Amino acid sequence: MVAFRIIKNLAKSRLAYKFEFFGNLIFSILWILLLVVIWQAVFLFSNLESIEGFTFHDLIFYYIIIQLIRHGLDVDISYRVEQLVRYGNFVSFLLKPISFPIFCFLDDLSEKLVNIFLKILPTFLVFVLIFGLPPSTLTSFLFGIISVIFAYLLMVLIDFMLSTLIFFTKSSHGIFDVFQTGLHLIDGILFPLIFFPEKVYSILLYLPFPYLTFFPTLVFLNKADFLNVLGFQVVWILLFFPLSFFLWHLSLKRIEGAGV
Amino acid sequence: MKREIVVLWKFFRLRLEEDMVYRLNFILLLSSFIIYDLFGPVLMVVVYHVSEGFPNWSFWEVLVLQASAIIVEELWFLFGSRVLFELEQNITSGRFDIYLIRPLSPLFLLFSSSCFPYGLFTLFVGVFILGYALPHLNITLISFLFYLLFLCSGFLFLISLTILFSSISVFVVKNKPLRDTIFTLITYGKYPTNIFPKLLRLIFTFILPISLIAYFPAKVILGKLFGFLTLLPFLISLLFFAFSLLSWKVAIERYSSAGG
Repeated sequence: MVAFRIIKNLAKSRLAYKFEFFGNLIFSILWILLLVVIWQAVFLFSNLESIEGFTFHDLIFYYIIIQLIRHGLDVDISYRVEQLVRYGNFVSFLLKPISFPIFCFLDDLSEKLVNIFLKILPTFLVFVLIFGLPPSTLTSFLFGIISVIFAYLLMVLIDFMLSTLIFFTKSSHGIFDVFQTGLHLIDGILFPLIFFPEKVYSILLYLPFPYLTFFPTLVFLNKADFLNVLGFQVVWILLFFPLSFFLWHLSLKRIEGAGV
Repeated sequence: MKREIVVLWKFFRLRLEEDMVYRLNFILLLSSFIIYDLFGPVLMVVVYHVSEGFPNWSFWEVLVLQASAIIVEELWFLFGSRVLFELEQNITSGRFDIYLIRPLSPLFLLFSSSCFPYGLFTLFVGVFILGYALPHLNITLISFLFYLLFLCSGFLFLISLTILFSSISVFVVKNKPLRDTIFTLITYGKYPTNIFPKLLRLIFTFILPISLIAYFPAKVILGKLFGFLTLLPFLISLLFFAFSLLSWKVAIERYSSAGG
């Protein structure tokens, strides 16, 4: 009940920034359109029916779905923790009658719920009106949603582990930026990872990053085995869950502040 | 002119020293910018790995295009990328008035005080890619000299666009959408203009000439631009620059400062 109230109140405050979100979404649409133009030229010039199992229509929906998932998974716990620590407000959070990691999770979840129902779903419907139905079945669509939920939990854990670095470095903005930029190179935002040379692709499969956006998108498009993807996501979550709490407790010992 | 160079150098040193306070953070941020620069070239490597690529562009030629885009973008990153952000901050805080009473052009002061030293280092990503691609192509000394001139014209276009948007910013103050627009236009300018639909090709050549960023410089060095056509893009960039200066003059005349 407390968690529900926290989510409800935080979701209300999130609604204040809807114009910024729509601004970001418009630029994401322009990015998708650029990629559509690039791949259209490639398909036409090379006279290809499909590339690695992706037809041009598949690719359009690949980019639409992966961009929407990316917006849905845009977890910024690390940034918020950095701001709290930098401006000295962090200690007051430790005095609140709720665990800080749980508060971070609920805070982020409230944002995601607002994004999904008021922004991502309507945007998806607009895309469907323009480009037609995605190459998905009802089952793959439902499996895709489950896969995204697990991807979100994985992303929360990764971002939370990253946020603990603030207690070990004087300024961790650079770490977050390197991580986010590097992630975009290997999470399938630029192109389906299967387009990479085989050796690179097979290495990526053993990392957690393709399970954040790339594989959930493939599950949506009915191009990946749902149970296999879910299995890998669960393994990574089970690995990162204790690790993130270990790092959190380690970082708590390094907190310095007035009266601490 | 000597005074301007001294002021520019002092601002550059100041910004560099500010950023170097946290050395590790500086290196990490620089790494993230370098990774970001590699997005386009990596996408091109993959495109040419899975297909025959773009019409009229070989792999090495498209690498020259990407390198040109990075060089022009990073020059702008160094001298113009933070101008809109600084302008917004200065207008909202009322500090912009100080620029107007100093014994130097407000526009020059705005650009020099907003310089972003990272651009000087990331510039070498473009130079490196260019150095890697050029030995695989037949380049003459004349075309290379023209190429340098065209890179300057691409840079001039981005500076003009920044001035034009700064003029708008004087009236609207909050300019994040304008900043995002410049980044989107730069991203569009990184790919061959001939892959876009005809209407967009015309717009990108004559109305919003983002072809100046990389397409025309690359065409010049590859010897694909002849006669009068060689001068046309350069003239367009000069016209655009003149127009942007005029817009700035109008904006400054109507600027009413905080509180009207």
